[in-house]
Amino acid sequence: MRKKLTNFGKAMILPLCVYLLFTVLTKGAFGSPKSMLAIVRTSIVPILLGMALSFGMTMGMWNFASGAIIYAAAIFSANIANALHLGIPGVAIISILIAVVLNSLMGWAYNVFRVPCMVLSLGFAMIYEALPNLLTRDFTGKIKMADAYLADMPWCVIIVLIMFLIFYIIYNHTTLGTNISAIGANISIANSAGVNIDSVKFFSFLISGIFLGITAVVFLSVNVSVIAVTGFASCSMIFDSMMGIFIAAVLAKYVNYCVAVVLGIFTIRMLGTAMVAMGMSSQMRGVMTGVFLLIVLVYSANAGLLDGLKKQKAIAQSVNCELKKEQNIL
Amino acid sequence: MKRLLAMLLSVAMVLGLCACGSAQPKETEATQAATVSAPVVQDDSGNSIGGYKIGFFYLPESDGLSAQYHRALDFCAELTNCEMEYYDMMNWSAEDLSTAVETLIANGCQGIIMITGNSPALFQYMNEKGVYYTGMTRSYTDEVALVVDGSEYNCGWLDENSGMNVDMGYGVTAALAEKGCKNIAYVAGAPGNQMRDDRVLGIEKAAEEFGMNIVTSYRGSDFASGAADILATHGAELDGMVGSINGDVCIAAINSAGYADTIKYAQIDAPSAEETESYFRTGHIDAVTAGNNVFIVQSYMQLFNALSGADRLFNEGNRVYPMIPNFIVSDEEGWQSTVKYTAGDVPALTPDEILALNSLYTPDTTVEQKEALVEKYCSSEYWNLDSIVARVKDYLGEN
Repeated sequence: MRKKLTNFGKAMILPLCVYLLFTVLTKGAFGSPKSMLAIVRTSIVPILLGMALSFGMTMGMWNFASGAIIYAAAIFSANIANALHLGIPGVAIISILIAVVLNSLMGWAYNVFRVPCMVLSLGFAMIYEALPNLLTRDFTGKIKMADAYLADMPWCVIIVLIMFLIFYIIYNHTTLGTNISAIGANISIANSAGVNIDSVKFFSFLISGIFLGITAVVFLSVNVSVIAVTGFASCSMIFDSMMGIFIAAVLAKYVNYCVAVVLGIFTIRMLGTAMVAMGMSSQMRGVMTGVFLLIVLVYSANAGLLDGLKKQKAIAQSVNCELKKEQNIL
Repeated sequence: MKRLLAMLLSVAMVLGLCACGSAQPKETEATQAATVSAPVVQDDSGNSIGGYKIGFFYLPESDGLSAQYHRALDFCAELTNCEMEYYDMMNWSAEDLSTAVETLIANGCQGIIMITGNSPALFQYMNEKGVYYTGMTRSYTDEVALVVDGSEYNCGWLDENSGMNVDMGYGVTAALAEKGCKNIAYVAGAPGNQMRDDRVLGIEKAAEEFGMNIVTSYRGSDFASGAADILATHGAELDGMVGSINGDVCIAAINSAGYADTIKYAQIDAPSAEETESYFRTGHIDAVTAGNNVFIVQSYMQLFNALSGADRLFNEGNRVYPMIPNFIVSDEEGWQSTVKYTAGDVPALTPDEILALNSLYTPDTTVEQKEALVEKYCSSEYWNLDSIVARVKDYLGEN
């Protein structure tokens, strides 16, 4: 228990440092309880998206079509639900169905064509971005402001808590989750151990599709209207989540990976909000975010070096001592 | 089997490439409700004036301003026996603009109305294809001038440098000041674009003159996150917010953050007509600019004059011509009048006012008199909501 608490404390060092640093720099404007609550609310979409992405990224699969799937699901579900007068429940169900179909299609193509997921997802991103342009009259999905309550408190928090619970259970208490971790750790060993790699990867796309569908509903509620984009513009919405997952890989040494994903994405959102609070330009925000990520990843990659050097020095010293003893005896 | 599947996927991706960046251009008949009619005018050879195909590329009609442009252009096309062709787009890269122009020309457009685009190659292409064009001074750079100056196909440039965008930013911010706002924030596009920078200049100028404190701002492309971040850190101290954006993401952000009752909001480009009316009614919006769709009629007539062989206005020097300004609307009733009488079936200018700019329809006035008429249209005495409503009501027989 004590070790768990210590590890949790270690995992919280990074988010706490970001919080304290920018609270001081913004003279309290950033760190107030109300602003932290607002950051929680604005982190909902990136966290849901991060959970969707992490299934694949654990296995080394980068899905750049996630943003395009969210746009397509949001636009089509809004149009269909409005036409059929289904309201927000209809939007949610249709959005999940569309996202599952689109993501599963990509999963099937991945297994059949054996193209690297990053490359395949870029191709599918182009297709999925084009779909609203082809199939809707005005490339837009809209809901009424009164129907956008899923973006408000407490609905958005309830949604993310439920999805986190599902995410946690799948990752830690199901065979699928164990297999995903095994493939991510060493695909050859996982294969030798009898894990059906293709099946696990396809199911990860399917499950990820459910999370993307939920993300699309919340995204639509946040924005009220979603206009189709092209030219890979949808990829920009996944970067906060991806960076959060990179940070999660570092924090996962100390806490459960699922918790690390949430902490990592929340840290990136805190950073983004803090920089807006400081009045930084968009260019500077991009630079700062990149620098922050580099610092975290460089530290993570090299944190073991110092320990390694100390150990080697200790071994060398003990060998020297033994040699001297033998020489004295002789 | 795998080969077949690979080919099918390739075809799907090619289809995706075809659709990316645009919808197919749309041809449109003028709105059926417009009660436009113009006398049939013939040229010296006895042929009826008109019959030209004019292209326009901009956002899809889901954007409120775009819908107003389309209605105004449809009105002008019907009036002058011409045909409009629309090319909808969301991205404004050089490649997207080239695709828009090339597609419109390939579909037979003899003239193109441009809102943006400053690649000299684009204008060189239109010169070579014999396609007339008109744009705004944001496009008229030194490099473009080398290509377009003296060209027969250059129909002139709407003068943005007169400060229209500065006035827009100033006007909506002043409207917030009149409603008692003291601590404001603004959300705008990234710096480096003249239109965006001018609007921000206007916002900051009004804030200074009215003693308002600009607490913070966001300039970038992700307006939803930017607005949310501003509200997260400064929402409690703000009483006003200005959006130099289109759509309703800021309104949604203010509403989601729970500040709809405490923060007054003004937006330069209004959301769609129906939504803006409902936002005024519910108090989600407090001021918008209006009347900034009518300059498209000026662009149309500059092009039509050239195509029809009529006298061309402002055809000397760099061919910059004055731009009909906008005005500020700050209540539901004003917005309803705006929609009906400036952005409805009649685009604020009556058929007589429009045709008065073409020498084939009004041969009795000189070029100088027509140019003076344009200057008159641009004056604040002529161009305000009350005057416009009175003139259009008179035309529609509602008085």
